[in-house]
Parts: sequence; C-alpha cells; structure tokens
Amino acid sequence: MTIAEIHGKLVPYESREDLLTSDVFGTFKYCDPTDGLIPFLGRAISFSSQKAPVLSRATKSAKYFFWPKSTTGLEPDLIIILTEDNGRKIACNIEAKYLSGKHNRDDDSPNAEQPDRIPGDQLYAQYKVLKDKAYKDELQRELQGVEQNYLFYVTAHYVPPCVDIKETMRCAKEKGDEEAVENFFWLNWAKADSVCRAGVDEGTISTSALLFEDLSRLLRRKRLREFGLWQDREHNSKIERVATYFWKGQMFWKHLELAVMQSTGPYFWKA
Amino acid sequence: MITDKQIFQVYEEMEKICYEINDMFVATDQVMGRNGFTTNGNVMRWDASETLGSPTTWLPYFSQRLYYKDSNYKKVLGINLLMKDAELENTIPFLTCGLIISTNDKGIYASDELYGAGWHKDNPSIENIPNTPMLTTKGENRHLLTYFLGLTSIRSLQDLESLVAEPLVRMYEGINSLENLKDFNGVAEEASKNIKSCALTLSSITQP
Repeated sequence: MTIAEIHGKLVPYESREDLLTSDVFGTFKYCDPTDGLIPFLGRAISFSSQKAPVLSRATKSAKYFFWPKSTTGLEPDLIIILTEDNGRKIACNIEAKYLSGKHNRDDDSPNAEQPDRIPGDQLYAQYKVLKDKAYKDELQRELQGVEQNYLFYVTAHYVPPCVDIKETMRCAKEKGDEEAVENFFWLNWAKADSVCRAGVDEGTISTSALLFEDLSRLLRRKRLREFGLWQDREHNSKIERVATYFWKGQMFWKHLELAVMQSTGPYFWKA
Repeated sequence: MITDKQIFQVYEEMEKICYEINDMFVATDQVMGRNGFTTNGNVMRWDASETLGSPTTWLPYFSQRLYYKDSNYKKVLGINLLMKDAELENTIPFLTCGLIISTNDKGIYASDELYGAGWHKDNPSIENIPNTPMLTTKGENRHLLTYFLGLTSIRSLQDLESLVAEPLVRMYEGINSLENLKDFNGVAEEASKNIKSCALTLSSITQP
C-alpha cells in the first residue's frame, strides 16, 4: 500500500487488481497474522456451503509468495503458507479479482501467449497445481508437510458470484474431484475493510493501527466496503433526510445549505 | 446569491448520489444474478441528449435495469429509478419495480412502459394514484405489474433482498408464488391487499 494511492496520485493504476492485491495482502504481510490475515480469510464462505475455512487464531507465522510461477506455467496472485502453533501447515492459494472475471482457457490446447488461461477453469487448475505441489525452490520446500490446501477467490462482489462458482464446481465434478470444492472459498475485498475497522475500533490489534486505518481509507476510496447506501455522514449532513416513510408519510429532502435544493413541497405528488 | 463554490458543492453531492445509485444497481444485478437472472449489458439510460437546448436530459433523470431469465426477452423484470419528471412533477426520487410482459413478438430491451408505469398520463387513473402494486397496460401488447419504493428505502443487502429481489422473483414466478408473500415489501402493508388481484388480472391478460 502506498500513501500516494490513498491521496489519488495513482489514478491510472487504481483499477489494477495486482495493485489491490498488493495493497491488502501487502499490508497484512507486515502485521501479526492473527490481526489481519486470519480474520480476513476467516470471513470467507465455502463454494459448496456457507461454512468458513478452518483457520486457527493460534497461527504463529505466515509466509507470503506473491505471483509465484508454477512448473506448469500458472501464476496465481499469491500463495500463503500458514503455520499454526501446533505445527500444522496450511497452504492458501489466493486468486484476486477486481474488475475482471476468471481467466479460463476456452479449450485444452496450450497457448503460449496466454499462460494464465487455464484449460477448463482457472480456479480449479490453480488448486490442482497447489495440491500437486508443482512449484520450485523455496515455495516447493514450504509446500512439503502441508496438511490442508485452500483456495480463496477474492472479488469485489457484494454477494457470491454464483456464475463463477458454479462453473468451478462443474469443472471439479467433470474431473471427478467434487470433494475439492469443499476447499474453495469466496470472500470480497470489503471484508478487509471490516477487519481493519473492527481491529481499530475495538483496539484489539497488536500491530500498528495506522496501517489498518490507512488500508481502510484506501478500500473506501475504492468503494470496497460492505454494501450500505446513504450512510455517508458528511454527505447526509448536507442533504438531510427529513421523513422516513415513502408510502404514508411526508418525505422530502431538504438541503441545509443551498436554497436551490430545498424541497418544493411536502408530498410525493404535487397538489 | 449562489456562489461558484456552492455550485461546485452541489455538483460534488450529485456525484456522490450517482456513486450510491451505481452501488445500488451493481448490488441489484448481483442479487438478481443469484436468483438466476441476467442483464443485457451495462446500459442504464437512453433518450439522454447532451445537446444544447436539452439541459434536463444532461442529468441522469432516470436509470433503468432489466433482468432476464432463460433468454426470455418477452417476460422481464425491471427496476426504474426516476429522479425527476417534469410531467409527473414528483418531489422525491423513487423506484418503480415490476414485471413486464410483452404479448406480441417483440422482446423488451428498454422499457418506456416501466418508466411511466403507474403514473403516466396514458394511465386514466393518474389523478388517483395508489401507493400499491398496480397494473398498467400500454397499447395492446405491454402489461406491467409494478410497485413503487422510495430510493432511500434501500440501504442494505437485506433491503435489496426483501424489498426488491424477493417480490420481483415472486412476481415472475406467478400467482402461486405470491400466495406466500404475506409481508410484501415490509414497508407497505396495503400493498399485499391488492397484489394478488393484480397478479390474477395480469395472468388472465397475458395467458394465451
């Protein structure tokens, strides 16, 4: 995360999902995993049910591998190796989306120009590679001893992207690997804002609250916050909603500062 | 006298309102998607002239989204936000939500009928507009069952589900589905009283 982005100095790049990935997970990387990362991932829900992943708050370390290259040419956005206090290791594959959808390859033919386009389904392919531990060097070594593999599909949707999810589940079924989708989870970026705000408001985080405050500001600038309309206090203070009931009451907006926006009458229909 | 600064403030507040409305429609698309409905792209408006002499259409005086299931373009759900219409002389923005059925061969890809449903001058009852779901027939071939919502009645995903998605989906599914819609809209008890009769009438009109 950069301060410049919060202040609107990187507008041409703001829509890039790699920057967003870096903003959120880059911040969590420098925090205690139980402050940011674990609560964030813990708010995900399973593709196949409403269940959350089993993640322990007794996690002693998180190793981040941003944009790792697999031996098959895939490049997920991030793989995180969690090590719990009891030594249990969990590998988390993060596939991040912002304004675009999944990058599925339309057929099984190799395409050197589109190495990240996967036969069938991008998410399933990434999970398969993770499960096969098809990575090199340090990540390959870290994957040894991993007991649990999770895939997290992080998007900007307010509700689970059912088309994408069904597509992945159908792919797993076709591959005879239906059980795999139990390890697939969806969550939205807005949950990161919720985690940051909760941590700051409740004073429960051990790492710097400034980091979380800035990440929250950035996510709100990008409008990546939980869905809620007409809740901007500053905005509402200028345009005050006077009445509350459309059907029965007298409802109109009264602008407190500008006469030009004052209500012209108390009723929905002019007399 | 209004100042440059105040005009700028008004413009900025308008931008914020547009962001809120965008969020509302994005979320509506997603909630409707979860119910199996798709849109036909990101277009929200037509008849929006930017030319000199048409200042009222420079502004987003209305926005509309239509939702389709199983590529059926003759039976469509829709939400229309009307900010201001000179003919109606409304004093608040409002949503018109409803079911649109075409009984000829033409599909529905943008709906003037939804825009004016329930209040347009073609409706002979414009002098006595009920705040309940109502039937509107445009010409011989377009029939609508619609209801109104105040724009700010949608504040959460739960509101979207209960005030928009569930009533619309039940309208789409037909009269049998409406049987169980006891607390239609939650905010409009009187709405439930006549929705069944409206739906029955619509059904009788549109069934071959």
